[in-house]
Order: sequence, then structure tokens, then C-alpha cells
Amino acid sequence: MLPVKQDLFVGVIFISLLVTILGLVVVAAVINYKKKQDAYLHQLKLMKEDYDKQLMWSQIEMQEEAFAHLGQELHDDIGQLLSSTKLLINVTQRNMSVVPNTLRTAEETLSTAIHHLRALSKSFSRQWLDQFSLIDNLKVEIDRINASRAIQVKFTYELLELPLQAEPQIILFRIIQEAMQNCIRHAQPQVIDISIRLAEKKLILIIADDGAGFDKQNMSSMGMGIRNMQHRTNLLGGEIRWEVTTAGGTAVLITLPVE
Amino acid sequence: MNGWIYAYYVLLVACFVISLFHLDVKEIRLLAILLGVSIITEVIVEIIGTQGFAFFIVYHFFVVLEYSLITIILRSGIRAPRWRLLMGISIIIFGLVSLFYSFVLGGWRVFPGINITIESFLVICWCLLSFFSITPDSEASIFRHPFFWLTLAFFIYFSASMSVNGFYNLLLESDAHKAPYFFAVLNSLSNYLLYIMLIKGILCFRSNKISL
Repeated sequence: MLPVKQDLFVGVIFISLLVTILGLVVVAAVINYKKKQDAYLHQLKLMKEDYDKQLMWSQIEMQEEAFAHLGQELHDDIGQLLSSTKLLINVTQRNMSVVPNTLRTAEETLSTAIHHLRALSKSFSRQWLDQFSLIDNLKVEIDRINASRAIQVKFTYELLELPLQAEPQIILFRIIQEAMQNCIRHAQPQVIDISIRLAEKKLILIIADDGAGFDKQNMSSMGMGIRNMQHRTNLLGGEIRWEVTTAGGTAVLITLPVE
Repeated sequence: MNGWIYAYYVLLVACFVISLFHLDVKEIRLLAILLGVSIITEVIVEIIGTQGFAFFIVYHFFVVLEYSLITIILRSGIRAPRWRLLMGISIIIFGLVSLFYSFVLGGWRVFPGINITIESFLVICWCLLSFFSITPDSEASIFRHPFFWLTLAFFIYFSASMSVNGFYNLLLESDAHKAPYFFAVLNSLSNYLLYIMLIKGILCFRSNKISL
């Protein structure tokens, strides 16, 4: 028979060994589970990102389809009506010995309206969109805004053609349009400065104004427009942020990776 | 011996009663059957024992039933078809081998120590497999997974049981007086842990169902 203390010693050793082995198994199981969980959550995150991207592309596709349809209707319906009206005015002018100035002005205004309508209809056209150039279309958009003389828009660019396919250029164009509309609607600026440059395989786009600025704290509640711009930029793999300029206005900075 | 050593029977009954409220879950249904059979076995053993009859025969059948139910419960948490097939086949083989040993080789009048040792070894293997087969389906930690607690319960119980059974004779040689006490203490402790963790596992099934 073992002495009492040795009895206890053997018992303690035995129980300690058992507990240690059990503990090691449980720890190994927990570590294994954690690894599997990390892999699962990462996979879930990738699937969600992919789903969000697919959804965004579908929405953009639908939007462009709607625009294309609208452009076609503008051209076929309203364009034809305006052209017919201009024709009638021309016929009336030929039958008049003295053409009043108001009629001449009406004919010129109608010609301008037909020209603008054609440009607008063309901007919605799918065929035209497939050959889309951001620089060219942005220049047209800027000329249109500058013609109103309420705001002066300056545009500086280093490249004549951006190293992006047509669809990303269309999305970027819509982002710039949204940014300019927000600026005109909320900031009431005198000048909007748009610049596009390439630096270290990144396209840097800045839309800055000298308007009223914005409250950065409350930006998250600024509505769908801002969120749309963020989603579209994320879709292109880029980043967008809003900053207050030294002059107190707003600057929208967009960076996109390019090949 | 102290009454607390046998107070785990109260936990057994409590675990059985709690399981009755969650019979819509397949694993809990099987667990309820296992616990119910355990209670019935212990009652029969008490009745037969007090009347002076050999009651070990009950344990010979109980071992087979216990192993079958535990293996089916653990099997439902494993997705790999090969392991599931192996576990299913082991139920039949163990049943046949155990009953053959009990009634042909070993004798049904003695305590089925060998049967229990083999059963413990197999259950420990399935528990190890089950531990590493628990698959995450959310951000919840492993400690909220019901199969973790069920597996841990069986793992601790059968590890303790197998270790003590393995060392019992050695303990008996060193101190015949203290060995049964040591055995009873470890057996009680493992039973307490078993039923506490089984209750935790049942509650995890319930809380997962609520969160769905």
C-alpha cells in the first residue's frame, strides 16, 4: 500500500494529465473552428461585394436603357414636332412681304431648340454611348452650362483620351454630372473648376467650387445622390471624398486605378 | 459515502425534463430517449439489485443502446459521407460484438467492463471527429454552437470513464480501500459535467432557434 501522500500525489498527477489532454483537445477544436469561421466570413464578404457590384451594374444598365429610350422618343416625337413647326414658320415667312423681327426671333429660337434637342437625344443614344469619350462630352456639358452665363466652369485636362473603356467613362461622366448639379443646386458658386490628371497609375479628378461649402458632420444624411456617387465610384474600384477648400467652397476628389 | 456523490441523478432527471420541452429538434429527441433509457436502467438496476438478483445484465443491453444513440447524435453533426457511413456501420458492429462478448465469452452476470471500455474508445474517436467537423454558419463563436457542448459532454465523460476503468486495477492494488472512493468521486464529477454540458447544449439549440 502506498503512503497517503503518494496516493494523493498519484491522484493529482492523474487528474492533471487528464485535464491537460482534454484542455488541449478543446483548444485545438476552438482554433480550428476560428480558422474555418474566418474563411467563411471572408467568402461571405466577397459574395456580398460581388452581388452589390452585379446589382449596381444592372441598375446602371437599366438606367442607360431608359435614357436610350427617352432619347429615341425625344428625337422621334418632340424633334419631329419642332421641325414641323420650323417648316411652317419658314413657309409663312416666304409668304410675307415684310417678316416681323418677332417671327425671325421665333425661328432662330426654334432652330436653337432643335439643335439642343438633337444634342440631348444624341447623348442618350446607345450607339453614341458605345463610343463615349468623357473629355469630349464633358466639354459639351461645360459649354452648355457656361452658355447660361450664371456660372463659369473651367476644365483642365492632361489627356485627350482617358485610359478607360466606354462604360466606366459613362459612369464617371454621370458622377461628374451629379457633382456639378449638387454644386449648382446647393452651393450657388460663381466658379467651378474641374481638373483631370494622371499620376502613378491613378486617375485623379477634382471638382472644386467657390460656393457655400458643406457640413462634413451631416454628410451621411445628405441623401441618395451622395450615396449613388459613392456606390458608382466603388464600382469602378476607386475612392471619392469631399473636402472643404481653403476658400470655403467644396472639392470632390475622385481617384481611380487605371492600367 | 457522501450523498453529493450520487446527487448527479437529480441533474440527470433535470436534463431529461428540459429536453422534453424541445422535442422538435431531432438531436434533442434522441438525447431525450437516451436520458429516458438511462433513468429507466438505473431504476431497474435498483429494483433488481435490492431483490438480490444479478442486475449487470441490464448494463449489457444498456451499453449497446447508449452507444447507438450517442453515435447517431454525433453523426448528425458530421457532413462527410464517408465518416457518417463508418459511424453507422460501427453501431451494428459494436452491437453484435458487444452482445456476443456478453453472452458467449464474458458472461452476462459480470459487469461489462470490456464492453464499456470499447464503447468509450469509439465515442472518444467520434467526439474528436465531431469537434473538428463543427462548421461555422455565422459570426457566433463555437461556444454558442450546440454540437460543441454535446460533443464536449460526451468527450469528458467517456475520457474520464475510460481513464478510470483503465487505472482502476492499478489503484485497487495500491490501495483497495481508497480505490472505490476515488472511482466514485471521478465518476460523479464526470457525470455532473456531462449533464451540465448537455443542458447547456439543449439551451444552445433553443437560443439558435429563437434567433432564427
